[in-house]
Amino acid sequence: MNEIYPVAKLGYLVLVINKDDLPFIGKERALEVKCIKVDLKHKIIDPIIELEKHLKFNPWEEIADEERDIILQELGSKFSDEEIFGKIMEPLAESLIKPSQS
Amino acid sequence: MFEKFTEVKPIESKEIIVKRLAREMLERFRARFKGGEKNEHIKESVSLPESISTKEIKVVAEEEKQKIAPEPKQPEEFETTGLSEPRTTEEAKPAEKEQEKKINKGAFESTVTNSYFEGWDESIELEGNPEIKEQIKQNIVQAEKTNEQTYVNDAYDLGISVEEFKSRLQAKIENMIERASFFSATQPFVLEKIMNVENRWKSQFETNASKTPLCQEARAISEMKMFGFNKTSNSSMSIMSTPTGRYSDIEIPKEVLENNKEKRPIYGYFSDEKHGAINGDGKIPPPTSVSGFGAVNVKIKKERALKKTTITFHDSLGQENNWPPTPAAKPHFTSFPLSYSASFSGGKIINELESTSRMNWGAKYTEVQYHNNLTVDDIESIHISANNGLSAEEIEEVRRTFKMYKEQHPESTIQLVEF
Repeated sequence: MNEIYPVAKLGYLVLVINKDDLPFIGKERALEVKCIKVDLKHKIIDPIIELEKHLKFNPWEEIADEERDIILQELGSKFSDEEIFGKIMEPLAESLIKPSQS
Repeated sequence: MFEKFTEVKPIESKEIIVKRLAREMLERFRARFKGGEKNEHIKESVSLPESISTKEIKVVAEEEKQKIAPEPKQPEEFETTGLSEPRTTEEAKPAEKEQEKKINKGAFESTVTNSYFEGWDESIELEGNPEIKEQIKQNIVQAEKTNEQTYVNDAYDLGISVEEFKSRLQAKIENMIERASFFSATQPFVLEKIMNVENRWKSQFETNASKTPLCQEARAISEMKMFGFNKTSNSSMSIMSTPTGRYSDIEIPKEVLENNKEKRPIYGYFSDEKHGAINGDGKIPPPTSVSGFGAVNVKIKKERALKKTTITFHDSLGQENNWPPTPAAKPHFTSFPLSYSASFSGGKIINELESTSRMNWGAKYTEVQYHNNLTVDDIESIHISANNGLSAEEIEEVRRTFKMYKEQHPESTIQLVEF
């Protein structure tokens, strides 16, 4: 089910991915997983980029299941539908990983 | 609405499908989190309309992705800058090639590399895991072999021998590194932790619980390939030796992920601009191309960096074997990527490469891998500016962090530079 999924946090920064890409993280196709960095404090959404680049440059922390909904609520309250659509949903929809044939 | 999503061919349809999918994701999101509040009664997301197939979307999205961002070319697919068909050295300069054969290349692929490795074991000091130097040596040898055709093509474009090309490239990158400073792009609140709590940088291996979903296998394998970090005697750990060549097929020993977490490489960049500018302009503003990772440019003491640092002239992600990291104290030309496109090939690289702050060779930024811990003692200065994307609040946060550190360590020589 395609939906946004906060995967890591660093202070007030959050990395979101498409939930359908979750199985690829850390695996052979990890480099294909794209993410979007969201600054919840300053209300800034960065362009889409490879998740692994963020993970290697900073000490990101995993987001616990119970935190995920809270983060999504915050994201929903701080950004308009237009911003979420244009800067998060659309780029993530465009960069979906094609499942392997084998 | 009359789009037929069962036949996905025209480009327009792809755009429509992506927008449709994004809209559905938004609707699903809003159904759960309307106005920042969770709608508890909706347990699961709403289902997709029948008119759209996720599988089709994925195929289309993948096609689109390939159009937008083509995979890096393999050396064998190298494009020449000339208008004619690719040429070979055999056609071009048989006499020179014959002469090259007579040059004693020693045990390595070129005289440049042969010279490079003279005194390697004794004179190159590189802190890090015990295997690091041997792994780097292997990677250099392999990369030069793998990329040989690229060097041949570039040399031919310039009308010089391959040895001459490698020699000039080597001299160029040595000069660039000599003039460069080493930085870490750091977030303001991460800096606070580094300076006033942890006393050192940490990698995600330390900050993450070792469980899904943030698996660390990919990075562990990458660092094993580049540096031999936590290299296991189990030969099945070699990706190339698995039946399918995929590392999802192999079980990574727990100790590879767990051991020496605090010694994992820390990633930064190098630049010859005094404040750590690195972008297409070679100055700030505009913000650096690494500001997304952190807009505080922390400069590392050069004498310390040279003992514990390896470098690449690009993001090493996915390029570990092609253009491998080599020591900052003694960089090798294989750390410079030549495979981006024809516009960045041979002549342009040799003639136009000048600065490590102005990225004009196809990569977005340079990369540094700090080994054996990066600590507060390694910091020379901290460079902050609103022109690098920091808010007034973040600048104030850095000032506070610095002041607190200075109060506790009045003897420290670390400088805060606001520009």
